[in-house]
Amino acid sequence: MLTFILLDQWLWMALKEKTREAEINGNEGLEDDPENLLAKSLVELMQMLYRAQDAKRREMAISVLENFLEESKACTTIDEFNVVIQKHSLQWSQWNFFVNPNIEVIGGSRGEWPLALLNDLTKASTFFELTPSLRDGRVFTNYVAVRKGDDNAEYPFDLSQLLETSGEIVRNRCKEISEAEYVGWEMKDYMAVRLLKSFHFK
Amino acid sequence: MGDFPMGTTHVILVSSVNEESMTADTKALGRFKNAFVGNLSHEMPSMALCSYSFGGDDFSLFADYVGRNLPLICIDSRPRFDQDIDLAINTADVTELSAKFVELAKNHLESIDRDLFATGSWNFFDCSIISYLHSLMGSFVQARLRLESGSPKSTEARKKQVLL
Repeated sequence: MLTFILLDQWLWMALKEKTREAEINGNEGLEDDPENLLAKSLVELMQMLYRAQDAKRREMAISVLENFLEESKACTTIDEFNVVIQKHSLQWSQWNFFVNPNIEVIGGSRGEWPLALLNDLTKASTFFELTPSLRDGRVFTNYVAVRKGDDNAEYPFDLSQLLETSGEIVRNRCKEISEAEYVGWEMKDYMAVRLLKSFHFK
Repeated sequence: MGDFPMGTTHVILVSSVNEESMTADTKALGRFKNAFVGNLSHEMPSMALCSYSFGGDDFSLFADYVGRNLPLICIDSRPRFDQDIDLAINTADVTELSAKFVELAKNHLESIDRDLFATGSWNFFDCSIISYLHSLMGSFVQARLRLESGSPKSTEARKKQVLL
């Protein structure tokens, strides 16, 4: 195991060193030729569009969560709440927004699924254990629906507690979404420029 | 196993679980891939192939491949409108030509974003965007050569075209 780690580290360092050497000796993306200037402009355009999309997704994510809060206030029974949350979880899934609290990534077409959630699902036996997204303070698109589980089981929470808990969770989620770090294409200009053009013109 | 593409003969499994936080952590996978592919490229002809998105990999991973002269094939799976328009016509200089290309890219990509948003989706096709902009760079070179030759469609300009 130690040998493998050392070999891996050596390979990694060797590769980084080789990359670094290439960057020092090369100057792709640094010259003021027309192709480089255009490539830089296109990289800036990509980043601008990505940020614009990111902002729009945050706005949409927050709005659908707020819609859920607003609608859930009118619920008078757990069954009504169940219907509301299922309806909205479907909407969240359709909008495909996702914020992973562990890596603070906005979006992601596949979503990022913490193993803890899967563990929770396998251990689920009671009302809130069947809704790990509520219990753990996370709102996940596909698992947020309230399920009854065993029909004979007694619910450990009443509607007011459910509304209070879910409201707190969703408000926290809105806060996390708005404060999550932007993780778009942050990289050195020359790397993006190189990716766009160098294999074209070398 | 049913998810593996046909023809797969070897599979490498890399544990990507942070056991402290019990979350998926792909850093180890990324490091392994980079080291593995980098090592392969030292020993034998290698190429990287990507489509759709970058599969969760960092953008810079592919820039790193390219930086080490590893051939990279990006597949653009989006339909594109006909871009065979000569932006060099009625263009005064290279700076203006470059601005026209940026505007062309901006309009096209914004249009895609708008269409996707209208259907409740988002633009995740990072690889596709890169491919598109990459092809635009090629068109720019041709247009610039035509502009600089003074004859947008001259044979001489065509001879100077960079092989793509």
